[in-house]
Amino acid sequence: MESASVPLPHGAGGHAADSHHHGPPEANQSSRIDRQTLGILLFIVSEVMLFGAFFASYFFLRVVVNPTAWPPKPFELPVGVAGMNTAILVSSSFTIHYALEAIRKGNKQGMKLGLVLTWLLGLTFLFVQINEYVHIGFSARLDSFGSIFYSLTGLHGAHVFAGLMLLTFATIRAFRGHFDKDAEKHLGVEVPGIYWHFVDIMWIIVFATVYIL
Amino acid sequence: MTYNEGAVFKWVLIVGIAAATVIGLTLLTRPLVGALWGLVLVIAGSVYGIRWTRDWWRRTRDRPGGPDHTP
Amino acid sequence: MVAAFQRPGWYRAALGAVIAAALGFGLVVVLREISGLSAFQSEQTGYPQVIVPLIMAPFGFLLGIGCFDYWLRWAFGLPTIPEDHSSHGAHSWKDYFKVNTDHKVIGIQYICTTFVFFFIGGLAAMLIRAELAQPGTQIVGAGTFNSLFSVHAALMIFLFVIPVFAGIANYVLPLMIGAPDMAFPRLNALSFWMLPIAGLLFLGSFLAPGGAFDAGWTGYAPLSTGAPLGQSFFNLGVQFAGASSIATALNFLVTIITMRAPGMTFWRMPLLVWANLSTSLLVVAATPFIAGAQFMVFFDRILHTNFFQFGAGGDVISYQHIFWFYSHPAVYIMILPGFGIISEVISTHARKPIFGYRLMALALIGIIVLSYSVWAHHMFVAGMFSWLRVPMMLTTLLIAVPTGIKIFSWLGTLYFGKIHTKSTAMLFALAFIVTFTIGGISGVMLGMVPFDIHVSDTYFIVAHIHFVLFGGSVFTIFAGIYHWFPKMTGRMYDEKLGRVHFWGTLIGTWGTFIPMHWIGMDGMPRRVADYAAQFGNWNLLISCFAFMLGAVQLVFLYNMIVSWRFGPKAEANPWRANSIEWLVSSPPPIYNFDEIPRVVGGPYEFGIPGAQHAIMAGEGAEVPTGEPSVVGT
Repeated sequence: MESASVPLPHGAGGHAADSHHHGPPEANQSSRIDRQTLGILLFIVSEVMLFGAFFASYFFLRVVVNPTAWPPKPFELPVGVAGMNTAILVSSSFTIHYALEAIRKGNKQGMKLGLVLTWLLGLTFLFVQINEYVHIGFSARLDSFGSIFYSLTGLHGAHVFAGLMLLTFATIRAFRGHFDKDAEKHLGVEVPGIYWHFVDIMWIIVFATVYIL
Repeated sequence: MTYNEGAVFKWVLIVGIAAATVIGLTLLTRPLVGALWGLVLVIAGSVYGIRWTRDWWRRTRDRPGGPDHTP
Repeated sequence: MVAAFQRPGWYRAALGAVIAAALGFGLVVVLREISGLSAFQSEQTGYPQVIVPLIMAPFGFLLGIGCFDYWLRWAFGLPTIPEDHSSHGAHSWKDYFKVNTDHKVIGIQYICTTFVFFFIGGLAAMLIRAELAQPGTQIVGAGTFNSLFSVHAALMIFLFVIPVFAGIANYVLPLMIGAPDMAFPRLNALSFWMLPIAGLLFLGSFLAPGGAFDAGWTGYAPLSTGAPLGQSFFNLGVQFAGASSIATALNFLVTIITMRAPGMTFWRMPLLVWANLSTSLLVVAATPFIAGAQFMVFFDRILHTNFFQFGAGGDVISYQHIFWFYSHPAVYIMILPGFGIISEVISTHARKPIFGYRLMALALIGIIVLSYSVWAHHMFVAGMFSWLRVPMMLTTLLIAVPTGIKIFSWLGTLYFGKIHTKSTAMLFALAFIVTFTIGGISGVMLGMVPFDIHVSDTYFIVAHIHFVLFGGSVFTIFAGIYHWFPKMTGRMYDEKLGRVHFWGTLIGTWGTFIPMHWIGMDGMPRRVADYAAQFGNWNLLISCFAFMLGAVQLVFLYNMIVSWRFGPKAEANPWRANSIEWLVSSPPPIYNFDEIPRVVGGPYEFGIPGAQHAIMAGEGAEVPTGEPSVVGT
């Protein structure tokens, strides 16, 4: 990608090169990756480490403390419901990918469809999760198991919520006709899309660790 | 190399398949086996990550760019 | 008047904070009434009616002061003007009290704010020393003493050393790499405004029932999970300070990777840029761990979860593991930017290229990689797995190697250099090398398991931490402030007062902290208000030196304030340095450059005829034209 004209949303993207411009000069683009994408990737690194802290705690509480029953009897985790929920979230990754593929080809209707589907799937996931909490029968005060179960799934739920907010903004802007075919004109969907994939990947790992192992 | 949503989507598939093998192993055998297989996968992923970082650095460090760039 | 509450600013910020706090309070009362609980709960750790408003008020404040205005308009698809630079740059002193997107203004905001907390934290230190001057308790009781040293450490670490480096780099780094601003100016403003919130939470804990948090800055569980309300203030404050430093680090990384001037390869970056690159990598990847640790303590306190409750399957030691997995890298977060500053100062004032430039940069990377593998050396006596001790000892000794590389590179730079000490910055840099080396060597001593067991929780630890953190980091901060003061303010500081400050600080530091090694080895325990009478004389001496050290900082304050207002005008490049920030006027133009400079050589080529680091627009025959080239990925 040899394009020199990657617009810099905070810089002087659209400036004509006046001899006496009043804004800042356009920054040199010293890397192929644009700022927003790099920013969200680094943010994701940070988020992974936050999950890492809670996973570290999980393994301390489960492996080092080594309680007799995990989860404590007579409780059981609803693996089936959570598995279905996993399928819902994973499919939402496909729909957001569809939305991005559509806008890359300039298909705005496809993007809107993909965004709305993703949003609905994400919301469904959250509702199923809350429903699971209501019917699960134990609270975060049930030994260390309850604490770490609610923390890991709750932390992830908070990220789903944050991702949904980002998707909401992207959807609002999509319906206001803001995005277009060029790479730099749909960063507003691309960045939430990347974040949404992260939320999805993280859930796959949380699910495999907490519910299955 | 491109960095966009498509590249990350690829990783959703990779992690999804890897997790599916862990889940499958766990359900077929014992959680310990699944956990060990998961550990193997994590180590493999880390090795890949370290190698990728090293390659990235090799590609990036000495390419001056700019008007004085002589390829 | 109504208009004042609609504009972003302090009126709206106060209003936002009050509304958010009231909302939080109402929420707690209503929800608890519905659930049939008494609205006000005042068991020791709980107080939801205080905690929830405390979480919400900062967001109301940030919303009110205007941190989110642009983003919210953007999010809802309203028209935004990316070209609107109305909040860029300071035209009067009032602009420093507003949300500003100019990295130079934010840098000054950072530095001034952090120095306020430095002096408050210093005041706490003076009170601590006053109490410790004599055996027995005279001035403050044991409880207040515990709060004082906890708040002192928390302020100095989270509100001074870590953010002041972010402030200095904020000002200097975009100029150094030839960028017009940081990559995300609005995020930059947000990260600054989260900082005073953290500080106010730490200080506000003095008002909480039960007093300020008193479990040390480490806040070990289960001491912290059962502590009075003030501890929750600490948990929340750390979250804000942590979020602030993560956002800034992310900003630095993106700026350094994507916004370097043409020709500025990684191997041509000044070492301050390298230092901030590596520090930011540490912050992004490590700080979430302290966030996690504080979340868990917070949940144990207010939700009665069982992360650290022994009887309920919790694991007490896991707190220390998670905490130190951040906090050991954090000591490098607190020193690596200082290494960068020292490299700039030493090379400039010794008029010599940095000795082993590439190795200096690689040593930084070596330190950040190794720093993730040494955390448990803080826990040799904590009762962790005993098999972990020796590996941690070995990695700890190993990490002294890259640090040693840096020390020897500075010495190599000084060797046969044309050293001059016209600037107080250079004095501080030279003193830093000596003091930090002593602190580093006592660190190696502490890395040895047997010795560490002997001096655990004694004043030897206090001596070590202050030698590396005060004699190390704070000396580099002073060096940096003196070095870039002319650039930041456009004025020269008073060199005579600078020297008074330097010698006072140096003698004060050594006088205060050297004897602590001895009384520590004799077994005087730290973090206790009273001590055995045999240590009385030494402590009196230490306190005297500490008061001198405190007093001489007032000279610094006076010098800075008066010189900023009345000092003689500074030239663009008073130290004849090479890097780009010295090629623009002092203070730099509002948008840094008319045109992005072009980098043609290394940053430290002193004494090499004809060598140039960068060419400003209109200087050379070729002005950079056409395609800005794309470097790497």
